[in-house]
Amino acid sequence: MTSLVVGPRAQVGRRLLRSSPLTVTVSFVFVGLLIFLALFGPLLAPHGPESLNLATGLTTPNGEFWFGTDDLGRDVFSRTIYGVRYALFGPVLIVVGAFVIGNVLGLAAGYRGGLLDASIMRWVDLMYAVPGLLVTIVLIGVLGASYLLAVVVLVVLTSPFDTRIIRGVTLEQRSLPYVEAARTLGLPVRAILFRHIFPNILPISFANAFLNFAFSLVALSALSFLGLGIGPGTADWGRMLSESRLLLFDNPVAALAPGGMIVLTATSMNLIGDWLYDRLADRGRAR
Amino acid sequence: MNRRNLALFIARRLIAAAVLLVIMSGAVFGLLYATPGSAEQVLLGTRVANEETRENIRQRYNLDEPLPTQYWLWAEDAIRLDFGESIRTGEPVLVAIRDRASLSLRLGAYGFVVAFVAGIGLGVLAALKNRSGVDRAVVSLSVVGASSPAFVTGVFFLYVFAVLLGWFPAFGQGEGLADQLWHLTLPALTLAFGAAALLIRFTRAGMITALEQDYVTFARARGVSEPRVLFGYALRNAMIPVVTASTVLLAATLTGAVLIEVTFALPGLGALLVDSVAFKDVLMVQGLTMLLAAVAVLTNLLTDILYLFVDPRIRYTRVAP
Amino acid sequence: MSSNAEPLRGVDANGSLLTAVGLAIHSRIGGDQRTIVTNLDLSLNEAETVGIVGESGSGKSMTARALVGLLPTGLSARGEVRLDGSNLLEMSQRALSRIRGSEIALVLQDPFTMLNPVTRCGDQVADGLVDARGRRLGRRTRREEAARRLAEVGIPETVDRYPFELSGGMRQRVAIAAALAGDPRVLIADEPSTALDVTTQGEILALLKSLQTSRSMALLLITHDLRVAFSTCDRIYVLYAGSLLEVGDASAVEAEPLHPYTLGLLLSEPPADRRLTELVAIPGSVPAADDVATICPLAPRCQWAQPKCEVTNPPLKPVGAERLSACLRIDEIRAEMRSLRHHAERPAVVHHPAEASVPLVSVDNLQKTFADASTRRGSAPVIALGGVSLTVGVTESVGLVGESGSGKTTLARCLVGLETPTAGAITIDGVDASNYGSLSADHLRQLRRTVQIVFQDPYSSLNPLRTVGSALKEVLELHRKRSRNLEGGVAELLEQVGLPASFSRRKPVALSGGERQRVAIARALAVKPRLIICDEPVSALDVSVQAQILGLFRTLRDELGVGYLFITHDLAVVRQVVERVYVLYRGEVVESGPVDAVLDHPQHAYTVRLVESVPRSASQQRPMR
Repeated sequence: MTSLVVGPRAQVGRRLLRSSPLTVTVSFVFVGLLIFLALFGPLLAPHGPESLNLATGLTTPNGEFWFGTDDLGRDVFSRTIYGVRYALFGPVLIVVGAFVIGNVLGLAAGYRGGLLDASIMRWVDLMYAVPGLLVTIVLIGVLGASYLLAVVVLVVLTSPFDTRIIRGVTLEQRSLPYVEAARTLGLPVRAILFRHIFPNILPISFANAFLNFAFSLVALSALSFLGLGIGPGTADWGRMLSESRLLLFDNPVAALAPGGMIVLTATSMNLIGDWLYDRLADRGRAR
Repeated sequence: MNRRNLALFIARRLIAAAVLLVIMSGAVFGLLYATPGSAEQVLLGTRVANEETRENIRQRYNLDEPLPTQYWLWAEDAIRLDFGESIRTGEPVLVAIRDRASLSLRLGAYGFVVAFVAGIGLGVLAALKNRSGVDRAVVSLSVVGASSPAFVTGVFFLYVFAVLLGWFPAFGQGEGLADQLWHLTLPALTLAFGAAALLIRFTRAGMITALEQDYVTFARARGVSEPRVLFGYALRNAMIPVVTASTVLLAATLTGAVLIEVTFALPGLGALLVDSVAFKDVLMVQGLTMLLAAVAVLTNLLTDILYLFVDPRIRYTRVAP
Repeated sequence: MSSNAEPLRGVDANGSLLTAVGLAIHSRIGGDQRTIVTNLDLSLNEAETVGIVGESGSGKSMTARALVGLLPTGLSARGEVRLDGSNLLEMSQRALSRIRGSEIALVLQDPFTMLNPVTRCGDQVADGLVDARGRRLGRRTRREEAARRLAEVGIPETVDRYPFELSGGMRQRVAIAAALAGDPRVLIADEPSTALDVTTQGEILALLKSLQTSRSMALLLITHDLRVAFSTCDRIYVLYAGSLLEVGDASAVEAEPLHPYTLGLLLSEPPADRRLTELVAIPGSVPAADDVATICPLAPRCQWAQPKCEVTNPPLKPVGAERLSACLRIDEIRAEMRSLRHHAERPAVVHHPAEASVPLVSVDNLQKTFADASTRRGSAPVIALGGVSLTVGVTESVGLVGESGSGKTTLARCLVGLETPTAGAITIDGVDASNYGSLSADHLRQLRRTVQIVFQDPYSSLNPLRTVGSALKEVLELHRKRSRNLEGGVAELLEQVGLPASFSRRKPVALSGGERQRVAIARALAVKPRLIICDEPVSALDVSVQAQILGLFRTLRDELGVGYLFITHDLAVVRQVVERVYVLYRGEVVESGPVDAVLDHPQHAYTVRLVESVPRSASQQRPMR
């Protein structure tokens, strides 16, 4: 029989990667590349994101401008690389915000139950009933376009989903004998929550964070595409797509490159998140 | 089941829906005051500001009344579907909405039918061929679909099918029914791509779970015909989570429709909303948002009732007073 | 006809309805192939009832699935399964689907998952019906026919009901009616009574037996319970880790098992009619088939094992007339086995402590009502406990017997503060424990050190992420603050429950069910409690492991003087461990007293029913209703 005793941490990590399908491995590599570009992109980009080459004007891809230029003569390749920062920054803020709110409210509602649970879940139900992105569009549009506001609104709209999931798994853990035994043994609530329940639900919130990232990126890009949130001319993928979509006949890459990056990034995050979920489901079944 | 209990259940749901609508209407009314600048300034828009027009606006929108009275008068009008006149065009909000609604409805219906057929069909197919090449292809398609915002899909479809292949027109609405459908095909496919991705996910997961259940094995073990096992046993149960997810599906479809109308320059309700938001045409935004809220609340209500028919267990547990 | 006249091996299929020859089942997960069952020969004659007996992991359920061609994905079968001469393993699913229902049908274990939740019972029964040309029947005929079939199993009124409206026993009846709708000649029943309450189990087995007789069909009963097999079957096959170890007539096997495993299994299931001096258990736990592929599968756990047992996996060979055994040494050890059995079945005298013993726990008129009844139909409040009074003396062991829904678990949870009673009083060690929420910290600590609990499910009783050592240390730190030597404390606790100290570094995944339950007991012992509440502590374990844990409970009691409140549905378990017993029925105590008196001379009608539902072999069988 194979030894099931868990070995050193590095070994676990290697086993995790080895057991992942090719698509997931590629996704991990792609996300790694994005992080690298976010950190060092400006050193690699051949042109500045805002530098206009009015003399060149609109061109198709060539030796100097790998992705061609847009109608203002800006280098699409460089702008795509600069765009990584916006693509990661906002979603990361939203993911972290929703993670914190979702875990705190979910744990509290699931473990304490009663009135606290009821009121948190009413709020969650209300949030479920509204189409989130459209609400964001209206709010950002009416209140005045601001990137930070968009992030805050999206945290408020995403966290109910986290809260519901965390509450569900907390309830599930809470009724398991190991938690009930801990209560009967007289362990303090703090120890039960943070030593026992939280570590067992952490992988699920972690998997969920990847799915949230994909949703947040798509939502923020949609806002930029509609001219809400981020300012005009910024090297944000949604904004770039919106400004170049009329150039499809002249330099299609100007629109397709940022669009493709949005899809690739969101797909990678979704693949990783789904894979983590599946693994957790398998682990539960194997017992 | 008890008929009285069912009536009570639906009545309770209706009341809950009404309460939800009232809460949302408060938020929608508040949009006027949330907008930067005074209400009067906002309602004035870009019109010339003389004493007379100002006075007219104060009169028309009861700005001199206390806030609760203002809401009350606004809500009274809203119930009669009177949301005032567009700040931008002066056209009554209701008329503008009515003129644009037909295009959005056609787009939505076209996209939804395609999404429904493709989503459920591919979902079932993938579940039946679980872990095969077909399954992996369908799952990949659905992950990409769920990860692609409608505007990106739209631009890609435009590039491939209109620019490269020239199969479909890039812009415009067309004349006559066939031509209109022709023009609407790319936008509808774009809408269907995202919605089908979600449907595939839910159907496939539900179907795989159902196929693993004892009741399917037991049905086969006593010789129940395979079509009956697949449709009467597996799919029938797999549809329960799909119904649960239909609110999420609706939200995705509505959002997608807005982005698609902008991408394809279609003058529907979504484009109207985005234009009005950009112009800070608050009255138009209020009317559209209220419509949106009503649609969301109504679908929730319909989902709850649809549930009763899909899952008999709920008829007995949840409906009981 | 009579099984006695048939050759035992099904190779020569004369008169045999269903035969399996060299049946092997493998699973393939990822790259590695695992054996589930190897080289299984089996025959089933017309109008005969045959049992396959095995613990979990023996491969008995997968054998049942393979016989009807319905192995789960990833599993495959080789060999031959012949029904009327054609090999089912080589048939297409389409062809099989025509045979299933009309020739052979399978009933699964769990009545709660076996029926389609969204379809009425009558329709499900009718789904298996076809006319002479294999087409679905008309609407009205379907309903009439379904009602007739449901009447055959005694519940005609369920035709328009949904499964969730019915009890487990009724659902199992619907399932049996559905399986028999196509009038099959062979019915395979996989643990048909295991998921049911004790009193219902007997009814379902009796129903199956009577249907088998009246329809003169062949019945293949899959079970983990030797007593059930003895009471129902003509012949039995004993399966262990994927290999057949013994085959023979039920009465002959019961009279004298011819394999150490069969004997061990028999002795591991303690009788309900007397207390044994010593509980004989098979040490260790059931291995995977591949781990014992080239040796006698029992060798690692067998007291008679010799080097020659570890050379090959011995095949079945005839022992005397009409018996098969896979034990190489059976001729040498037969006498020893007989004397072991004789020795082990000696009854013991139950020691009764003086009546005046001080009560440690006293429960007075305890009531618990659940307002929110989301688990039940309707939303009327559910009365779990309707005024229960009982006492447990210092160092006393008391049994609490009842079926699901009797309120026994609710009572246990109230005692340790996991539920708060609606009314009534609990006094533990002089402290009013009716409401844990209002206790002072000192009193709370005192209660925690007096009463602990061990749960039913060993798999979720331990935090999967923490090692055994850290789980025990956590408790020691909390309750024995002055103790400096925590490691030593952990080792001592593990030793008390019969585990080596090295187990402290293991995580729960690396433990078997029995080992996990030992750790759960050690964790309860860490606070040095005076009473341990045991909520069905062995019912989730394999039969051969159950006896080990019951033995451990007895040992701990003798060595540490700890008392038990033993909650169970199993009269045999109660008989072996406790002195006094309370019988709980629908939230009320219907009978109580010394265990011998209550079980030997039950007074209340329910207790009588409970005692009578214990499966008995044909020789000692009382007439069933």
